[in-house]
Amino acid sequence: MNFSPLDWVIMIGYLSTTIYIGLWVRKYVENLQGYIVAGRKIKVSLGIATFTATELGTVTFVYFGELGYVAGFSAFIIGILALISYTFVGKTGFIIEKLREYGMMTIPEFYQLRFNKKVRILGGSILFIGGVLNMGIFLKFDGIFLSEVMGFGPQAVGFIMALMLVVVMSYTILGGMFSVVVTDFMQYVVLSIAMLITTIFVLLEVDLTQLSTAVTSNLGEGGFNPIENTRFGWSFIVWILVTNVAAAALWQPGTSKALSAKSPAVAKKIFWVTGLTFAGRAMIPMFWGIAALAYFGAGESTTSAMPMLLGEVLPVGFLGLLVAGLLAASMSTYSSYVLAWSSVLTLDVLSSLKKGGYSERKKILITRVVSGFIGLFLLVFGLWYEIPETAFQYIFITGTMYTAGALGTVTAGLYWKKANDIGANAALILGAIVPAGFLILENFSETLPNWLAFFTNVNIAGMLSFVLAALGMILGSLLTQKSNPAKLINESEVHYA
Amino acid sequence: MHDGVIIWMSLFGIFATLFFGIAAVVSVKGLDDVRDLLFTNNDGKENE
Repeated sequence: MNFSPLDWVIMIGYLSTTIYIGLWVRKYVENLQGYIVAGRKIKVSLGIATFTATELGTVTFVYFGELGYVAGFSAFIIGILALISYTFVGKTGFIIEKLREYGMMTIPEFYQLRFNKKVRILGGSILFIGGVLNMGIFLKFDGIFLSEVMGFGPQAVGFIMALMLVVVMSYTILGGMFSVVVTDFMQYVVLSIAMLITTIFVLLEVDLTQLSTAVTSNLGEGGFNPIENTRFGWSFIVWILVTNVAAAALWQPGTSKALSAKSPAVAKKIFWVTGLTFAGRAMIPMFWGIAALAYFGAGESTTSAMPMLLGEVLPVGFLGLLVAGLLAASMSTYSSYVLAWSSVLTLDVLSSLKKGGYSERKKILITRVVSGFIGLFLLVFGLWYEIPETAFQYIFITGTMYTAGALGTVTAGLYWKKANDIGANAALILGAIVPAGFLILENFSETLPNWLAFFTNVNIAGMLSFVLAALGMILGSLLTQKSNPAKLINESEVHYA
Repeated sequence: MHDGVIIWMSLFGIFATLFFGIAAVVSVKGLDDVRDLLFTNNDGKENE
């Protein structure tokens, strides 16, 4: 076991403080707007902290560390693409500015404003399913990662998973976005310090010559050139760029931070400044993964190599700080994601299906109940499901299930007057079919006929879903303009905030 | 030593510095934002 009494004190102290603060803040929740978007009072620095903390979970370290270990420096391209995408969305205000102006709390809410309630229900359902599947592996990977770092081995995974869930659920369910944002800020500070100290220790452990030798001998030119790397190539780069732009603008847990911002201008600034950190966000854990390759060689489990390195190089006390930082990373991600998906199911699906909708009080109650069920699902799914590809590709393909359709639907809805509800439904369905097909068929990849084999290439499946969704929107709208004329936004339905 | 190591590690240095630099600024300024979130109302006045 790598964990000393001092490490335990730091970790337990940190967890206790988080729970206390998260619960204390719940008294500021006065209404639905307070619960879902913190009353739209978030300013730039707090917005950056909560956005970054949300998008930087332990699973992020797991899959980026894994990519560094298996792909070397080529993986760094992913960080650069993310920086380009997020700063583009922030600087231009693409999608997020308008959604914030219209006072939306969820993205499917816009579907009703622009198209009709049925599109909202369909979009909300796909978003909920894709989102919950996407986070289905977070808890398991976090458990694996933390048990390796702490030196407990695989038998501790289930216990660590359950503990994290209990802590996060306690304040998220009760305090909503107020608790999420305030605890995110604290977690951001702790995590940043932990990442800095860890990076320094790793830099002290391996030098440039060792890194060069390890990557050259194990990965060849593919370890330096992303075009030559068989995992990546041009199709991957294009897919990741498109997916990142879609995710930046439309991934509910992240976009909800823009929707919670004090104004559209603040929302844009949160996004582009956070975007500047996205290259480092990827490269730092990837570098730890490359260092693990130099330290251990290529024979270790790809998900365990990087955490094993950290367990070895970090001294007593700092290991506890890193674990506190990683727990912080996990909890900030879970809280935002659980709140995002439960609000979507409650507001966009259940309340929309109920005639007359639910009262605000009931919506908050239902959101809390759904959050609890999501937590249970994470525990059961995480213990049972076997991830077919690297964690990174599973996460991107499940994210694509929603973002492909949403990109076509929201972009056309905002910027193309002829977009109608038929096109929207077509985009949402076609965007989801290919990733769903990938997840199912991947389990039978060895027995598939050749003409279906492309479905199990994650890069092709990813790109295809965006292309089909766009075609669905364009052709669906154009072919049904007479029977289903486009409905433009009724300004009287908009509550500018 | 492969040339790619120098190039990629230089980029790593730049982007890691950017990450931690922004983190430092946000950590300091964010405290005021937390105070405003919790202790002021929508008109910017202190809650009673």
